[in-house]
Amino acid sequence: MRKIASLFTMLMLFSVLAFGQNRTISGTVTDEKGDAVPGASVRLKGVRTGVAADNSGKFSILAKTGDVLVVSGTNIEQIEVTVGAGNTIAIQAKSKATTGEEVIITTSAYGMKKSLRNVSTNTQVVTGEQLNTIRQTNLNNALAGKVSGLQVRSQSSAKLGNAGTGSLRLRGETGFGGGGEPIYVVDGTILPNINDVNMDDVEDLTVLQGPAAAAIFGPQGARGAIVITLKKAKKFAKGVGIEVNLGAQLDKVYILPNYQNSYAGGNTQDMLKYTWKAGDPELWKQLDGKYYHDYSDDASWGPRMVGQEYIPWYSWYDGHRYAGTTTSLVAQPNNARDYYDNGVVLNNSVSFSKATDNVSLRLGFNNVDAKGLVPTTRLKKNVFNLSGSIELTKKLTAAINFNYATQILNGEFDDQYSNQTTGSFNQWFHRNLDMGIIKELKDLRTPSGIWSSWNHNNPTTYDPNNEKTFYAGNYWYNFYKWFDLVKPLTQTDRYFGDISLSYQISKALRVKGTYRKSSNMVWSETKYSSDLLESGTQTTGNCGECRGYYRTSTSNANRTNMEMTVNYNKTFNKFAVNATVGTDIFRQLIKSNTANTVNGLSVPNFFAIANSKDQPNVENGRSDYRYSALFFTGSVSYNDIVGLDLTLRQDWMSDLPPSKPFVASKAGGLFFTFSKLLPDLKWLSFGKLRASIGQIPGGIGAYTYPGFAYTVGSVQWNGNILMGTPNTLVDPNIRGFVTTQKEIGIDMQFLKNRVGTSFTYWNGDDKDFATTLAINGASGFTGYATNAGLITKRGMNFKLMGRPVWNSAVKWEINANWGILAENKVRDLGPGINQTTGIDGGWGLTGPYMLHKVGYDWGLLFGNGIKRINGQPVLDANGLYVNDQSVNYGSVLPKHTFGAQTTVEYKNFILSANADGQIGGKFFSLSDMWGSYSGLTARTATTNDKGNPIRDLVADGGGVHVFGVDANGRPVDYYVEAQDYFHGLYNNRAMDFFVYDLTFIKLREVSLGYNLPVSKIGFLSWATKASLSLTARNPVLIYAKTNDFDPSEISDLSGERGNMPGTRGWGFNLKFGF
Amino acid sequence: MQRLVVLPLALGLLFTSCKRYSSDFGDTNVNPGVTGSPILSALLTNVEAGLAGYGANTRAGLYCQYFSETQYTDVSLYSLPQINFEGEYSGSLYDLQNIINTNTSNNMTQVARILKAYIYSTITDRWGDIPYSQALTGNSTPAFDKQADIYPALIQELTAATAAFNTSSAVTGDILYKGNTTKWKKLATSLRMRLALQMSKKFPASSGYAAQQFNAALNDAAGYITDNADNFEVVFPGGNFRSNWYTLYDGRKDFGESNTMTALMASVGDGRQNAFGGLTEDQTVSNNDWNQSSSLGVPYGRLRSFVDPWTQNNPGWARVLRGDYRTQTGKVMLLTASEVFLARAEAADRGWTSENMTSLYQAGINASFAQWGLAAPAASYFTQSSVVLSNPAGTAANIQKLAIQQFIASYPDGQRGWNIWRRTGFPVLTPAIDATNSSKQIPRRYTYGQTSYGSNTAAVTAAAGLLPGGDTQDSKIWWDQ
Repeated sequence: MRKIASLFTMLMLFSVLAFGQNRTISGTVTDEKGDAVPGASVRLKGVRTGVAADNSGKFSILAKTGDVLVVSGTNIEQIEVTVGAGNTIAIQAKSKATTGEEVIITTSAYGMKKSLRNVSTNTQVVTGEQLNTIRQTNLNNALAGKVSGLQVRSQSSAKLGNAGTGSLRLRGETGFGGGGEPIYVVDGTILPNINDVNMDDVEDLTVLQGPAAAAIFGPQGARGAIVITLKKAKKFAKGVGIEVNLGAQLDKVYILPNYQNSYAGGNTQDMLKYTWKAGDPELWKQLDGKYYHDYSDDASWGPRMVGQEYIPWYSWYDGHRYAGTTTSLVAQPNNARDYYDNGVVLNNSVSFSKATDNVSLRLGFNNVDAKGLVPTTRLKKNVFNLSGSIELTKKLTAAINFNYATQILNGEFDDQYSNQTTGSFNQWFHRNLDMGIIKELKDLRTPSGIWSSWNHNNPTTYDPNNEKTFYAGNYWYNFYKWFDLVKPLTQTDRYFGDISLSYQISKALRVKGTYRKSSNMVWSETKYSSDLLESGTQTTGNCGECRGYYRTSTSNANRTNMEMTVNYNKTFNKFAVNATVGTDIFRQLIKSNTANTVNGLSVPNFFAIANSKDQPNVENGRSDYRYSALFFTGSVSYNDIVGLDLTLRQDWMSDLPPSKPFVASKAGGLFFTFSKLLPDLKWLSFGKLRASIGQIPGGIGAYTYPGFAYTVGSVQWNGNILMGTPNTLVDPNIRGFVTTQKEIGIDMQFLKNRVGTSFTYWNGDDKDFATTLAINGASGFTGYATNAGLITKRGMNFKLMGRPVWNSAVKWEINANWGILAENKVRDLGPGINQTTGIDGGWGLTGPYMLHKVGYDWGLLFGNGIKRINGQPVLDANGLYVNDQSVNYGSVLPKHTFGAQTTVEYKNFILSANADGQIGGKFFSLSDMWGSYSGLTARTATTNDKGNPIRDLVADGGGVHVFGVDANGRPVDYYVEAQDYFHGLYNNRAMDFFVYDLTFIKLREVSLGYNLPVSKIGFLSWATKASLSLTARNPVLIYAKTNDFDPSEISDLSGERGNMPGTRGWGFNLKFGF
Repeated sequence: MQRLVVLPLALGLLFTSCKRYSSDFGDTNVNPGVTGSPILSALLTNVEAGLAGYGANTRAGLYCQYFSETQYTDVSLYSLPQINFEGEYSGSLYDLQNIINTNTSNNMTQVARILKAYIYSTITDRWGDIPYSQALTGNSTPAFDKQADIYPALIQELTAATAAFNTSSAVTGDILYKGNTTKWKKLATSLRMRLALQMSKKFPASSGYAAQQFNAALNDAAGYITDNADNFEVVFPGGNFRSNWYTLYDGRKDFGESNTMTALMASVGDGRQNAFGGLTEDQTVSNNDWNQSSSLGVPYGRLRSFVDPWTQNNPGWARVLRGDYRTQTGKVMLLTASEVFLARAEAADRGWTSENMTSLYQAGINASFAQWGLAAPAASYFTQSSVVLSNPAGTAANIQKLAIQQFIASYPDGQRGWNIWRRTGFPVLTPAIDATNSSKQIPRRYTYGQTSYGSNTAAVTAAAGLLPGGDTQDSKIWWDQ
């Protein structure tokens, strides 16, 4: 306010000089938040014509002191301002109370802005506030449920940092591999992922779904784009310009599979009697005659737990308080849950910003310190952001955006088969283990240096000459010790940003040059203690690194752009023309070095490549890629009623064969704001029809062409080098795939913008993928890289916005969206090919795996299952299922994704919630497969229809009652011994039992905030605002077809192999502005 | 004024950069990490380094009951052997084809032809009909050839390769025979004998096709393997390339010598058991047991719930091979002098040849002992009733004992053992007690894999249709019928 007052004083001073003459007045139109209002109309009162403000809200007009300027715009309330004495004028308008459609979006990498009202595509905007409902640290997770047609594949929060990125799907999937992701464009710079942006720096985010919206990016935008604008300093902002945001969140394990709690570890229900014999340790004498369960088998087919006395695993080790003792055999229902720590995420940021007449500057700093649920895991991240601009002259502006993020990630986040957390708890484990004692005894070690394990062998194997055969873990280590002995570390330093110079040649014409750079340096190392070799007997079979291991790698990815744009923006009567011609010259250089030790470390626990027992593996990678692009994008609109968009871009790319090294992207669209012609319909505040079409070709990746290259193996056989013939032949005319989509839509707002809806129907196809056609290996080659295939897609997007209550006391807003992927069908895979080979599988081709098959939706879960006759399972003479190796389980893609956000403001309280869900899509659970095999899951310990435990012998009335038909289709039923039955599911590949649905509904984010009345609190009087909020992340999984996993966090494309548990977070957040 | 300067400047810059949009990116797209042409010696080394897998096939070893599974018993309970063979074509076989196609050294081409025939024989012996005549040509849907046609074709190929060697071209990268073409030729004729004998069930007659081919090989001037020094075997350098028998226990102990095998060895009082069964998988020399023998065979074909406790209670169960035969720098044998002697003995027994059956038989057994570094057995070994060939040559009445000696001599090459059993029915094997497959019988072949059905559907479906009983593990392949 003080600022404006002084401005007026200045104006008054000059008024005498200026009075009475027509002169050029230049000014800016901003809204109350200080954001520019581009395209605002400014005219003299009483005069019909006027000028339009440019993208940054700037305008100039001929006027004299005392004239009244009428300022209006689609999104602002009309205001009148009297011209004073000065030559400049700052106009602050009030935003219209609309429901989100007022947003100005950044549509491209090249700094072009546009009002959402004049967009011809289904473009959705998420504001920083909407994104940060609870201040997540990961942008993808924060987007879940907020954009129609966007599926977020989140990951367990136990996977910190990079490991927990998750991925996005825009309008389904495409390609014949594992699918692809949209690009992230941050202030015009394209980033390969979005880990290194401070979420508190995000001003808004625009999702460009189809090629019509993303054509300006050329081939890079073929899978859509997430365009992010970071906050800038705003003129006329209240206060000194400091904002502080302090947050903390506590994560706890929420979802784990249902375990059985009746039977202990081992493979036989009989307890085994221990008899001391000469040569056995003296300590064991006191165990003579006592009973134990089989320790060596890491399954839970052991004795029924009824509190009987037994010798626990740790009694056999000497040197601790339980040595030589027995205890009672009871269930430990929470042992898996007890393993995990509480995760703690501290997320603090501060920003300083100031904008004066010709200089604006914002500095942001963010620190994230997260302690993971898995012991020893930790992430520390600092993000620094600088954005500034200097108006050197009225026409020449220099600007900079600079971001630097540095991150250190400690810990192992393995969620694959047999990993050391869920890979044991859910796959191979003893249900009677007391996790508290495992933790207490984590440092228990034999005198010869073997770390104790719950999974040591049985005392019959004890050999005084070779203690390891008994004391070392058969398959597993102490979980806590493991994480002490295995230490992966990744350090990432990324900087990106741009420097630009723009020159306003005339009111309509502007030229801008930009230099961008993005550099990502990653250094990582992994250490596996040599102790692991001594402490395990069969453990190194699955874990070669457990002999002692060191690996280190460095990589540096450098991306530079040189951009030049010429922009023309002018209104002729009611025709507004905006056109940009530009060029973009890009280069990407990636260099990496990786080395790892082989077959152990010569000097134990000395971690260096040179200490490799055998010749270390050494690799270096280099990749160079360039493109040059020339583009045009422009629009013509008439009085904001009808408009036409056109985008053309040609890319010359180094990866394409020289026979045709260029591709063209094109897009066009139309909109018709019919509500402008229906001013009498008072209930209709806004109505727009839109249609667009776009086509983007893709690239093929550096060195794909000419391909067929020979590499030399890094190790030699007695001085002989080894080389294999490449397996993929490459088509000399290979090019990128082409994606084409059309869409039509309608956006309407009613009742003074209190209710809004949006509907979009889109369809399109992706064809001629640069794909490696799997050809039968008997040809001599496994692949032919060429262009083939067709995928057709269509879908619908709905949005509903409403303000059920909106008055000075209560403000209640709801945003809901629904995306339907009606079709994502593979129509053609290339000549003679009906299905691809396995793309992704939880257990190779033995478990169900994902492939693509002609006539089916993308990503078919396919493979082994139960043979059926008329839907009835076929049983063999033993009552076991007969195998069918070609079962179609359905696509891994959900058909429906939806979400709803609501915000209720009452007095100083704000309640926000975000729920989302999806319907359809399949996944295969490897954990369930092994968890059933090893008797861990609840279903392995139920009772049968005779009321007897299924684990009782069939002869005693137990067994699993199996129903089905014989080979001739006649109904049969059998009682099968439980262990035979559950082992049989694996042995006979009856995988149907382990395939689940991805359907879920989840309350994902809740925040209850309180805005402190700062003006009334003495010690806070210096603050412009202060708010405190309590937050919850994943508070309730409302519905899911499987209760054993969180379907929103399945780790792999086709399923899970050892998913980390679902988690629930509680936190608080404190925000100050002054 | 400014406009006059800046706009042309900007547009000028724009179009200058456009000029760079010519297709010329220089060598940007040249991958610095690769080479465009093959090094033939490196291809050959690559193939030879991978050959040991054919002599250390645990699945076949489980089928013929050389081995038992010690903890996860699904293979020895005959779970579906749905296995892809395509990797063997695009891997080793095409590397050999590449050497043949490039043909820069005649003798390397011949070596590649011999190795190719060897690999093909192992593939057809596992699956039966397989792609052959149209394979390795780039044809992505090669037809399946009948085994009845492949066997003669392989014999023909081996014969032609043997004849085509010259004296002037070098064989480089040969880690097996170090470029010694005489040895390669001996291998080729020995392989011809093996293939001919494998057809004995199909052509038992002394005037039959198998006998003719056997004799042709026997009489080929190139000679055949008569000395363990000429054995076809892979000797590992250790370090990054370690013997398959070493890696069998490198962190796991899934396999043991079966009680079927130990019983068979005991039935003939065979000293080779000292080499065949080891007391511990631990290779640490400081552990006193590392080079000790065990003859405690692991129960065959039992459920996990039986065998897992059994191994816990019997920690001295027999590991496959004694520790000192299982070192990193150990070897994997693929075709030995002993096999050739015993094959000739059987040919004599069948009346295919008129060689001295008994002396070949003894020579074969002695060579087998010798290949394990063991002293020849006492004379009493040969005279015991379970060993001695009591029927006259030419009567085909000694097959059981011959087959058993071939079976013992082939240990631990599971595919050889499985082939001998399928061909002769000896030794008499009892299927797994706890078999989980519906027939409860020992598999006679592998079934075609998902890859064939996915990418060569018509051809594999046609091949499956020709199998008696369809594409199952119980269907007998041609020479087994």
